[in-house]
Amino acid sequence: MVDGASEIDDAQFFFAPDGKTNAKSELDATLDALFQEKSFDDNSSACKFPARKVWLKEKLNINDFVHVTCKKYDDTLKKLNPKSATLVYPSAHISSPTSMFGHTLIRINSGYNSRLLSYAVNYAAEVESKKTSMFMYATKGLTGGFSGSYSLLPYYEKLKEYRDTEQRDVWEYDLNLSEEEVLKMLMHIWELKNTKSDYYFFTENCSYNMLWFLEIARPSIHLREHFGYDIIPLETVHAAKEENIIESVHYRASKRSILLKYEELLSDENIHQPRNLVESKIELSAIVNNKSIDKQQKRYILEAALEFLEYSFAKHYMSEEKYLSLFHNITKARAALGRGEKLNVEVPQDPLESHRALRVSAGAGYRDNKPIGFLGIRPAHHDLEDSSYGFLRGSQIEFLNLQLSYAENNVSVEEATILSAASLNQRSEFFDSFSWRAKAGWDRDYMGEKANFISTAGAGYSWGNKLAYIYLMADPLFYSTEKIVTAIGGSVGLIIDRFSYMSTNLELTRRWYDTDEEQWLAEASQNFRVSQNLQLKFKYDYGEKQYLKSVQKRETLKAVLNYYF
Amino acid sequence: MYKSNKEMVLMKKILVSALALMALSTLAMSDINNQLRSKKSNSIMNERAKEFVASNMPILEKEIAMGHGESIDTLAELLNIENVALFSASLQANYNRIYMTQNGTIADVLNSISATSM
Repeated sequence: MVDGASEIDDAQFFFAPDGKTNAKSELDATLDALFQEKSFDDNSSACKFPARKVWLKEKLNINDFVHVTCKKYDDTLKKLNPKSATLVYPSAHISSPTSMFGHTLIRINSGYNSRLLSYAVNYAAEVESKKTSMFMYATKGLTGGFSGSYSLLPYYEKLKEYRDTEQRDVWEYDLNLSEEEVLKMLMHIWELKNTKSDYYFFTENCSYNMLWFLEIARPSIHLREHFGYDIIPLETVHAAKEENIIESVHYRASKRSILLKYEELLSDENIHQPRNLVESKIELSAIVNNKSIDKQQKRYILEAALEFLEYSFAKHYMSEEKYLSLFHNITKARAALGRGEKLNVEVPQDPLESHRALRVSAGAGYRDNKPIGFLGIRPAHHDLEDSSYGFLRGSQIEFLNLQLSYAENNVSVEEATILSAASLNQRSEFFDSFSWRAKAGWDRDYMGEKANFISTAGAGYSWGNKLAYIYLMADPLFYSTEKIVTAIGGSVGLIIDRFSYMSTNLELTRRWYDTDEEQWLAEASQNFRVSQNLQLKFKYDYGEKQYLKSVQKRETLKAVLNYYF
Repeated sequence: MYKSNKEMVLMKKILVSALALMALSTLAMSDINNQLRSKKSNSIMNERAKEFVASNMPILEKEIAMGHGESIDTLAELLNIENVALFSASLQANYNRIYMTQNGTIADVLNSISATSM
């Protein structure tokens, strides 16, 4: 409840007509409903709202409520057999706009050892992704145009969705909630099962509701107080850590991470075989009967082929008929090769150790040999020069980044980004990925007197290994100056990210404008991760603009300290 | 061949489970294909195991082919099988029986692997 009003928007959640805003009349109406039950089975008020009944019993010491039999609720409870809870964080898969910030859900662990038999509490916006354009998605998301609803699903179904179909690595943070606390949470979730709330990306989103549940489980924790203006799913995990409710962490590799691991394990002669099999370029027998291929390599080829096959089918690259026949033939051949080595995907850097979302920065340096100072603030979330520790490689998502400079008694805007995003996806044997980036906001790359508004969206390719990755991008753009100028830019970049404590970013850009102006832009930065939330950056910027025979140049060298919280 | 009676009993249990799984995969899929619910209850496969198998067919098939995996471990737990390694190995060894034979409904299961299974 915030300012006396409930955050639930569905009238079915309340007994009193003014229940959303008037807690007193809702309490009276609830007591009436529980004392004067009209039905005594699943449709009774007590069965629909078990948490309230328990709460009233405790707080008001009421023992004479009407007895009702809640078959559905009891069956569900028996099936779930709640013992403990886990905060699940499917990390970002930045190629899809709907997952840039990641996602969180709560898993209710049963008495079984296998976590696949647990149930996931899911709260999601009802988005018809194929029919919703990026623009509509953003607008509706910000204004509460989507409706959110809860579901209780077997955890394996969620894994199919996030780990397999969307190829997101899944992080599981076991919470130290007691059995009793989990039960309390579950009763509340049961009450909300059929209600709807308006869904806002940044405030009342999936993660916000998860925080609610955790606070209901244990009122002494105050997770929601960690958030003022927005909630990024990963931030909820950070908050859970600060409240000391995280006990242990488990990692589940996405289909993508599994395929990348097979790329490592397959020898050079065999690396193309899984794809060849799936794309029917070779016969299965040519692998199985080939005596020159080592047995373990054969197993890897077939296993990777199965993974790639499922990936291709999920991406609609083949018919169901073809998929089923290949799947069956390859599994059959694989079974005949006996038990092999288990795939061991190394656990990546824990997102819990990544930098926080809000960044403030201060810096100093020289521009064209004159001293200059910098101050900046950015509410969210990550750019390519921030430490990528715990983040998806090559991903960037920035929201409302503001950087100011001070030189010769003048304060000016260096950068004011509304939104910028990038996804530099490395191409490899199994992934024909393309990369993209986009930005809207003000910057000084056009080298005018002031920052100019730029809007750009470009695409390209990226390749990499464990040491570093490179990218080639073509970026059409326009600047709004006195008039609109358009340009096409071409960039080549290198990012060395092998070491967790530092990274190096280099980028060279050439731009051709419709005004016959041409530009060179070069930037190089050396970034040190001093601690989880502190970064020291040295950056060199060079800009040059040619028009007819005149050349304008600008050079900036600076040291910047970034602090994240 | 077997060191003790105990192992013999375990082996039997596993083979029976493998056969049950075979029967079940047929049931589960014919359920989906015919939109019918089988009323036959199986003494070995409890409801929970049935539901799990029916919802995890492709991943189970893949894991059985590989001889290990979390879904197999889960199934073993649902069936109260203690020796999971032996269970996995036995499922893998019986792959052809589980996914190929029977009266053609398995062909439906995997939705038309016409050439091999008919």
